[in-house]
Amino acid sequence: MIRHPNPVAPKAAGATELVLAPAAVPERLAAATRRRFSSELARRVPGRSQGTQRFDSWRATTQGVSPSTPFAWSPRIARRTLGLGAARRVQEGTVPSPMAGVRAEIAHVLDQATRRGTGRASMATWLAGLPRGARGAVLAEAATFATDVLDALDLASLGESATIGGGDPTWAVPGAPWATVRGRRDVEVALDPSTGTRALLCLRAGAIRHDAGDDLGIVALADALAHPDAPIPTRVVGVWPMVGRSMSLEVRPADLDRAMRLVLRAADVARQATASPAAPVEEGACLQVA
Amino acid sequence: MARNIPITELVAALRGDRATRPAVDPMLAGGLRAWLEDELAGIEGILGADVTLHLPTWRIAQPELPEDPEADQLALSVLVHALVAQHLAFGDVLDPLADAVDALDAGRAHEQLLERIGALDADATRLLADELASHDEVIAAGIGRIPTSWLPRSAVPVALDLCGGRVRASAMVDLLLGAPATTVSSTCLLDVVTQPIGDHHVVQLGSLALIETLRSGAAPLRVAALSTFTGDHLVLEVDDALLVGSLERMVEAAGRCARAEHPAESGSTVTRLHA
Repeated sequence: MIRHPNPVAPKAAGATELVLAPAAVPERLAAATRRRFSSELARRVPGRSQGTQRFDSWRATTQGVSPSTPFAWSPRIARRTLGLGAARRVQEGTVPSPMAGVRAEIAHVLDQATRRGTGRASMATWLAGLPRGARGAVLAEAATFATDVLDALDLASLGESATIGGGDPTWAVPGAPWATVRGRRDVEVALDPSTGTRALLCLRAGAIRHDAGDDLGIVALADALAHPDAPIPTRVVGVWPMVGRSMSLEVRPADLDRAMRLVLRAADVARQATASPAAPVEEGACLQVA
Repeated sequence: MARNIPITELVAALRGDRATRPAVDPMLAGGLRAWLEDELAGIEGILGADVTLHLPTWRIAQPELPEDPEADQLALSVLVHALVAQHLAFGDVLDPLADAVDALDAGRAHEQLLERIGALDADATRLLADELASHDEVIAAGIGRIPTSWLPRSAVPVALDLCGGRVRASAMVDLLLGAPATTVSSTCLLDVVTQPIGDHHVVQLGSLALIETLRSGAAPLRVAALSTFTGDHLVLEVDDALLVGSLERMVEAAGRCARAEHPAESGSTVTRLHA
């Protein structure tokens, strides 16, 4: 079920109301459903020789294959990692502003790299080699992203229940660990620590799309898979700062069922792209969540 | 209301005195959106099926133009806008051309432009560097060192989907200052342009204020333009009169642009209302 914010409330207050709305404690993802889904996904994903396969909202909703161009860091790609770290520092009160937070985050990344060493493809290696102009672009992009995160919710009223960043929920497929399901979410809000209920917040670029509900459903699925001992997320709230819109997916079993089918279909597409024989996804093969 | 202030006081004038900021009207954005949607309701009769009418603010200000008037100077414009981010990050720029090129190169979004700059001979490179340096002096004077507590953001895309997504009004805000408004207006928007400021910039800024009001749910405090070519600037206080006038111009521009793109359907509601 999709819910929308109060249109006359300030945007952050409206999104916070969505996050905190009362709801029953959701069920856990049934072990049988998890087993069925993981065995089906392991059977469908391309083989290990095709490299790592990550199934996230973008890939599952667009049925896109992995980009053929090699990965390269850019200010736009780095902004989320640095921006979330910066926003967390502002929330904790250790820096006075998003820009100061980004500076601290970059210093931290470089310091960690110095201590532990780093690979050629790491963000630290890339940051360390940037000329001044490029570093300025990184700072500006990440500070803008961090400000969007801090503006999305009324963090003062949420207090310590809100955790910014902290790593996306990622689930490696049993039997095919080179394939993962990942949910890109930016903030987690603990609704009731005693029951483990939680709401997730996802910042999205651009305009709200017709399949935004599917995007949020896949985030819910990844989180449910990554936290087998906790209830499924109560809701996933999407925020689109560019157009000032937000909406909440109140997660029901049917949403996870649909998300599983989308991931399986994306796995089929990926397998077809590698010219391996593919098993068709049966529309009726509903993986009902108990 | 336009305000005349020295360029070195532009940012301070944008933020103004906290005590005199107007209260946010929580019903304003919803009312304006409803009004806008009503006025544009007939536009689907003009637009073809599955067509989205794009209305960037420059087009709202000058619907007769086929393309962005800054397009002729696109290369310079791109470089100048890259420098705005540099000023936010460092408070200054050491080598405008080198820093702008490095910033664009890292973003990998303007490869052709960078190839062209890389192919320039020494004299042409020096000319470009000198020109860019003169624009950078204006940026430095205009936005200087902005306190980070004012939450400066650069290159912020803003958009408004209307008529169920059939019409999209949009803009890129070069500099956005201030936290989102809660009880009083608090955000300020600055458009950095590389041409002299003209009458159309008043319309463009008004459209920007309207988009931001509907996007954020609260009217911004002020909108402004800074010409890095002349050093001129224009600051507008955002009030009901500005927003209502901008709404009417947006409706008129939508009708004209839709009619221009789909002349066969020129008898529909929007055209009749605003011909």
